[in-house]
Amino acid sequence: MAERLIWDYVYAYDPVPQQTPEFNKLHKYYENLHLERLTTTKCTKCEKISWPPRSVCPECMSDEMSWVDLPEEGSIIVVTVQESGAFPGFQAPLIFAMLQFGDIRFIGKLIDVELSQLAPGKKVRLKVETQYDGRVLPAFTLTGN
Amino acid sequence: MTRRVAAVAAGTSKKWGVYPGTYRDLISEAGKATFDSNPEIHPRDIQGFILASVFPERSIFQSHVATLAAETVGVTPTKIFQRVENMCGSGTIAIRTAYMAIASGLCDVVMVVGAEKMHTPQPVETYMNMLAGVDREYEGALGVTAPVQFALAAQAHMLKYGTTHEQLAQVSVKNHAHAVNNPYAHFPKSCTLEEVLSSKPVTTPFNILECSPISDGSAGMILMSEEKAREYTDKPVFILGTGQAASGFNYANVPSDLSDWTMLKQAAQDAYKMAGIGPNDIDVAEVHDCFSISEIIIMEELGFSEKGKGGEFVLQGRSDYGGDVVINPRGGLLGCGHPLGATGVAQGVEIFRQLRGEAGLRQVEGAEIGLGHNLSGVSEHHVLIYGRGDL
Ligand SMILES: [Zn+2]
Repeated sequence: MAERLIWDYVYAYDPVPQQTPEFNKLHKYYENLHLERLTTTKCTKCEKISWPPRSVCPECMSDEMSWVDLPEEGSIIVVTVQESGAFPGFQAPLIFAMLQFGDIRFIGKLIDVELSQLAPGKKVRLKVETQYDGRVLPAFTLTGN
Repeated sequence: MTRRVAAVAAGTSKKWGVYPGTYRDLISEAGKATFDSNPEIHPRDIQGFILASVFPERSIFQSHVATLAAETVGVTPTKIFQRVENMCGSGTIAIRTAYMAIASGLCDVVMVVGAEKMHTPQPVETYMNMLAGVDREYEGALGVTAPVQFALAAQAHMLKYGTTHEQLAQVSVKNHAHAVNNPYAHFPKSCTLEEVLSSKPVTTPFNILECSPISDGSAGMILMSEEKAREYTDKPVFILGTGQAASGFNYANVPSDLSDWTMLKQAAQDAYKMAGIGPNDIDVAEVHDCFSISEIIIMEELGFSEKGKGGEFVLQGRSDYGGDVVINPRGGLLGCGHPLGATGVAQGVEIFRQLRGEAGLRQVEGAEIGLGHNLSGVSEHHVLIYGRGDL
């Protein structure tokens, strides 16, 4: 009979990305999050700003990228409040919104907000969430909170 | 020189839902149902084999599944064999791949199977596996799920076009009612508008009856060149046109706001042009109602409804029996369930049966032209148009 394997950590069931230089060329994104900065890549040749960050420019194929800060303030385009069916490890209610930061838009997670305050057009700012093991993920809250 | 291609056999596993068997058992059932639908065809006649299956690596810990599936259904492919995977749209992509192989002259006879065993002994793992289908680094890691992505599309549509929750819920009412007449449906049970609107909240605006369930299921289809098809059946169903377009894996790169599915509009236009028809010519359509909002936007982009008026279209019964076009007669993903890789193939099976007059209680009277639509996200779409062989 095969010995039963019991591991504390199974990579295939860890939703949080690897964030260190040995596993991720774009580790600077996470290092900047640690500094409460939301950044992405800008191509040094054609100046295209991409989201998500890139290691090669999809416009001109240059691999020389610089890091730029997104605007400090963004806004909610639309928002949804998830009350059930969250992935294992996530506590409902979860709030997700399509956010606009300058020319970039993406789905962001909102934290520390009153549900009654949520509406399209409301302004948001970065509020980093640190995971149990020190890794970081971006989250957002309403400005003024 | 492309050749005409026809479906000549099609079938599904007996009952979708939580399947009491293995992945191989599930594939066996689709194989049997498909060959049983046309006793003239023997597995040794099949030259090519395409499997649509999304994440057997996670759900049953098995890669290399195209050959596994071919062996399971008794097929020894000598011209082409491969698996296709592009999340929820994989089944339609498999049929398109078979179409391309035959149209190009590479081979004459191809079998397509779609199979997904999603339920695992540990339910938490089943949910976790769905994480593989969104952008894990930048969306999934935050807890973003498919219901969240489509809920944001619903919010955008409600904001821009004034679509109401009642209109969304009516899609579920219609499709659940259709599923009652489908023996393999995961949920063959009708529900009222009130029941949909008071069912468990998932993510605003969706309640649980507006979300397609996690299901096990399988389906198969055999396609042939026109010349071969005429040897095996008097009622071939031809592929008249097809289109496909994608832009935006991460939702940051969807080319429009979430309420306008421009990639679907483009895929549909290509398919209509290839078939030489327009939306008014479609009698019956199987479309990807993964969530209630999806069917509304799909009807608009396919040209059945005016843009922004999809909600009124469904509420007025124009997408039901007796209306402009019958949408999702087998019950859709909402009523049948959504075993990822199997869904697109099963949509094709339904159109095949409808155009041959073999859909029983679900039959759309006199259906001549049908459409199948699968999506892999709000901005990734796959369209097939089928026509009766005697036209
Ligand atoms: Zn560039």
